[in-house]
Amino acid sequence: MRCDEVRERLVAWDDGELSPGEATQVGEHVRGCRACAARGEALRSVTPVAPQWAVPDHVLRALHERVTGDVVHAAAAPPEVPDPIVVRLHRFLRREAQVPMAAVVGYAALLLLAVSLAVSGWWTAAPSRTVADQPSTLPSEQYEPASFQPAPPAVEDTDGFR
Amino acid sequence: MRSLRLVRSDDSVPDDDAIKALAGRDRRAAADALVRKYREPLFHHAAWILKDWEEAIDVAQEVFIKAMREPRFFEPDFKMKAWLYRVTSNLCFNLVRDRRRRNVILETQVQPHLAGEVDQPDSVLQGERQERILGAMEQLTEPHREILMLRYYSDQSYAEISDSLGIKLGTVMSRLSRAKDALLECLRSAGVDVNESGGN
Repeated sequence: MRCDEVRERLVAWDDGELSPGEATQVGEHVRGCRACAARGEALRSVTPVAPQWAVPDHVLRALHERVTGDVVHAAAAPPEVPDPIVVRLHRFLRREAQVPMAAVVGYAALLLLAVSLAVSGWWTAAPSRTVADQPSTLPSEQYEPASFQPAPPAVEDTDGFR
Repeated sequence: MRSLRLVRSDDSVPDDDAIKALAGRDRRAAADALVRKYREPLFHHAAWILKDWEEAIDVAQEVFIKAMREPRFFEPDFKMKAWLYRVTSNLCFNLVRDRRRRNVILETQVQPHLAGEVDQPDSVLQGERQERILGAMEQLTEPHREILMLRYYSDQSYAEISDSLGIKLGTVMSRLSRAKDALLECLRSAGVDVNESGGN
C-alpha cells in the first residue's frame, strides 16, 4: 500500500473500522514508514472527547417532564374528528335544557325536511301557464309550411242550377 | 482510541428490536421505552450543536413527536437510532443557520466541562488540549463538525454514521479523515503544538 492510500485510512485504522486485511496492510506500512506513523500519531492526538456538560438540575427536570412517552404520544396522535352536528347540538341542549336525544333528532329531521322542501320550491312554485300564453320568439311566417297556400274564395252560384 | 461515552442508556430499557415488538402490542408503551432510551443522548447531541439547554429540550421533544408520526418508525427494517440522530442534527443545524441569519447571539451559552480528572498535571494538559480542540471544532464546516460529533461524542460506528447521514461507508471514512485533517490544520494555525515529525 502506498503512503497516500495509507493516509486515507489512518483515521479508520485508529478507530478500528477497517477490514482485517486492510488493517494488517496499514499496520505493516506504518511500522516501516516514519512519516505515516507520525501522521497517524498527530491525527490521534486531535481526537475530540465529548464535553461533559454540567447540566443544571432544573434543565434535567424540565427534560424529564417535557419529553415523556405520554407527551410525545399524545402530541403525535391524529387530531380528533369532531362529532356530528346532531350530537353536538344534543350535548348543548341537554346541558342547557335537558332535552332528550330523541327530541333533538326529531327536530333535526323536521328542520332538514323543511329546508329540502324550501330548496326544491315545492310550495312556492307559480301556476303553470298555457302554451298560447307564452310569447313566441319566432316570426309568425316561420309557423307556416312553405307549401301552404290560402284556399281560394268560394264562388257564388249564379246560374241557378245548384 | 475510543472517546469517553458520557451518555449511557439505561440498561433496563429494552433494545430497539424489543421496542419495535412492543409497538405491535402497545404503541404508547413503545413510545415510553423509546423516549427513556434516547431522551438524554439526543438531548446532549442537540446541546453540543446548539449550546442552549432550552432549545435542546425543544428539539428532543420535536424529534420524538416526529418519530411517532413517522408511519414506518416501528417497522422491523427501520433504523430507528440513525433516523433519530439524523432528524436531531437536521433540526439543530437549521436552528443554527436561522440564528446566524438573524444574527442572534446567545446570552447564556452552555459552557462545557471536559471529562477526566483535573487534579493530575497530565490531565490538566490534556484538558487544555481538549479545550483547544473544542474551539477548533467550531471553525469546521457543518458536515465535518457533525461527523466528528457522531463518531467521537455519540460513539457511533461507521455503519451507524452511514445510516444517520445517509451516505456510503466509504464516504464516512473519507469525510472523517478530511474532518480530522481540517481539525489538525485549525489547531496548527492556532499555534497548538501538534507534532508530526519523521519522513521517508
